[in-house]
Amino acid sequence: MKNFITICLMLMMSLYASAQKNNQIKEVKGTEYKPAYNDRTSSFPNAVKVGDYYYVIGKKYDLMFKNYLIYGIPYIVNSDFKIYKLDARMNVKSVATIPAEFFNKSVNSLTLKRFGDNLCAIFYFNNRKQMKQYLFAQMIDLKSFKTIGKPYKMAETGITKKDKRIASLYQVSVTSDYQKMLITSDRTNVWQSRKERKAAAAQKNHTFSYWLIDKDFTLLNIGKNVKFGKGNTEVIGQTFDNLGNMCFLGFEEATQTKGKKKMFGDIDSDEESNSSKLVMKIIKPDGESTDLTFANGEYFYSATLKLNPKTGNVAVIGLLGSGRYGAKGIFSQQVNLATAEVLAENRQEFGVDLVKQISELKPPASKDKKPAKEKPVKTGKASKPKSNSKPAKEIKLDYIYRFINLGAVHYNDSNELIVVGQKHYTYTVTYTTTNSKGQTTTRTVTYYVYSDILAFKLDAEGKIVNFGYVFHHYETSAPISKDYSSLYANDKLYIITKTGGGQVKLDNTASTISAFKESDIYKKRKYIFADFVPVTDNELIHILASKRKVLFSLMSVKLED
Amino acid sequence: MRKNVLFLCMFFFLSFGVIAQKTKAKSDEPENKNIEKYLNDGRKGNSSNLVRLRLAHSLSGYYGASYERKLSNRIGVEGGLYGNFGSKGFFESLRSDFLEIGDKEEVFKVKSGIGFSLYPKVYYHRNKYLNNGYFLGLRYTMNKFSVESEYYTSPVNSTKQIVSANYNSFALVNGTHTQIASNITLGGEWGVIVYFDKYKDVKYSRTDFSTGLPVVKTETLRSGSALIFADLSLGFLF
Repeated sequence: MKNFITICLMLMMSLYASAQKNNQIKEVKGTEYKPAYNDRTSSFPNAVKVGDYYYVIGKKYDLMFKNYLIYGIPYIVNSDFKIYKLDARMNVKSVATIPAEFFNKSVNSLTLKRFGDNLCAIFYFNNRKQMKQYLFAQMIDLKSFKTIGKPYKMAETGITKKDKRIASLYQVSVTSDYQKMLITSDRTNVWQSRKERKAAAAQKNHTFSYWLIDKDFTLLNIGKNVKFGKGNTEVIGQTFDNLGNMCFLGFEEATQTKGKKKMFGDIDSDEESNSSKLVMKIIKPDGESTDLTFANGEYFYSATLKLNPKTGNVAVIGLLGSGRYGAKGIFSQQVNLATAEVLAENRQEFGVDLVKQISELKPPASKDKKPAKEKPVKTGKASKPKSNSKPAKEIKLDYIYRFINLGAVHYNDSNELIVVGQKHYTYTVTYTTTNSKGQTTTRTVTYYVYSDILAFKLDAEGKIVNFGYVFHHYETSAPISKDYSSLYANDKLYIITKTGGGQVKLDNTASTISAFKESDIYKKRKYIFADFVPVTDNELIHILASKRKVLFSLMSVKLED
Repeated sequence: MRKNVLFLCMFFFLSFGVIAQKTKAKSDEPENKNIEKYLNDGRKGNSSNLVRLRLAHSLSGYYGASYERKLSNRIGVEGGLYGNFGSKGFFESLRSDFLEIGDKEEVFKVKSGIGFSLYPKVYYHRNKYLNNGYFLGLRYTMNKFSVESEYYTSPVNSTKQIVSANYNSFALVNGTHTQIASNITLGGEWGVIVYFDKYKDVKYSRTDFSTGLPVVKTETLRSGSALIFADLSLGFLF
């Protein structure tokens, strides 16, 4: 009898141990925070981790919906910004306030960064009279958790008269030692109507501007309307080292055929008439600049760059593609940031065998709950969704179908590259609604699907050594750049998505990641804000704000030694 | 000689290039001393002072303005001063030209008046400023005015009299206002109003049917009612 009990206990313990091993996600749910009635926060655009604490910036939107009854226009009043300081258990330790009157106008929060020894909250404001978009930074003391002095005006960019509610034109990044801040503004990232494009052309919109700023708010370097590539060039990536050597990667659209504009990363673009290329600008702190071009004549779905702090090399990675079939290979080239020396160019095509191996992968059996899918929200009473997606394109055997989004590049200890990308596609659904009078209205919604994640390990010559694969599905009606973050640590690759996360094994098989339990929370409660805000490469903060309470939860991928 | 000139030219162009790269305008430097100028988009910024013109008062024949000031994040107080210069106003015209006394109506004409209002408010959202707001308020209005009327002292002779009157109203108001342009706000209010009229020592005549002569009587008239009420206002922030 004792033996039987011992065997049972051992069996249960081993089952528990295996269950623990499968669960690659750590979820920490904080206690609900009840802000004062008038401090309710309904927007949380950014979070940052400094030391053991997490900081989340939020803005209270006083949407005066009752005014809607009178004027038909709801309005947003100037609101305080709140910065929540959370401990590792996701409990609110303190809240800092940047009062609305600080700015005197309704400004928008862009991001929260660590800058120097303190926190830096960054805001932007569209000045319709001066036709400028201004960027402001407000320092917050980490010890006292109070604002330091007044906000700084950091940068300014021209906008057109039509740009009343234009989104931020700025990209802000900070060096790894938190001593310098690089701000760029690029109008080509902004959607524009034909009239606006004409107006913007007069303002040299095919240029970008940059500001390199020291932690004591001295301007180290500036470039306004810097010509980048020829014709219409879009800044797609930027990096800089601690010395202030800056590197910008751009997509140069050299030719335009009449009637159809070729968009970077557009799945429907046609490669035959496309002679796009990648361009790079390296600017040294003294202003000396070097222009480089890569892979002239190739068509890229997406490209990215990554600085290796050990070698000072910047890797440029592009996904060679075709609008008709998918991705056909990976382009890689490294450039030394300090000397602008260009190293060997590598083009690795997937080939029929690798594509076949990948396409024949099947999801591994898992005891974990499958990631929850976000279902399309239907409106209207009697609606009949009618799929309106385009017919499937011809699939070529040496192309990875729908693999178009490059997400991240990592270096391992041997300075080899690990490239992570994602399959992505869109589809449209037409909803037909009939009201009580028999009148029908149709509404077409585009859904953006963020699908399977692929990772490739490249050797020093850019050849594919092996790959990892994760079956994944997340769809939303609002486009995002990607739905995952990746981290390479201890020679292992980890990803965290909006539905789960875990380790991706680079062993030519499909890996399983664990789903979040917290995703069920969406169905249970009414909320005014609910989203995952990335805070580090392996951590997301799930923020759920109801009318009276805010709940923070930390989702992190467990890292193995 | 030619070489020297070329060398000088090259030196000049090179040094110019270096200067061009390194020159930074002072306006490009980050600064925190005068950020108001970057925020000046032609719209009045946060303001705690608001002067209003009210439609309901104007339609009652009272012309003037009110001034509102935020006392705290939640509490605001509005006080108004209005004058009547002999106008009955649109509302009175709609009602009638007569003052009802007993079973008869007497003709009256407003001569002049002065109105005061006191309007404490509680704002639903906490904000020190009056650029926008949604509030619950208790609006007290007092109008002191005089009306002119006639009464007969004999079948052929009439005498004019000036009657002093006052009007008091209390309104429970739900209201809102929003900044629509530069420093202009548009507001709307609705609620329930209770009002009381008092006409002091009104002389009127009634015919004594036994003698056929008018008899002059004096009476203080009081009236009152409860109504649903709405008002619009145009405000100026300063």
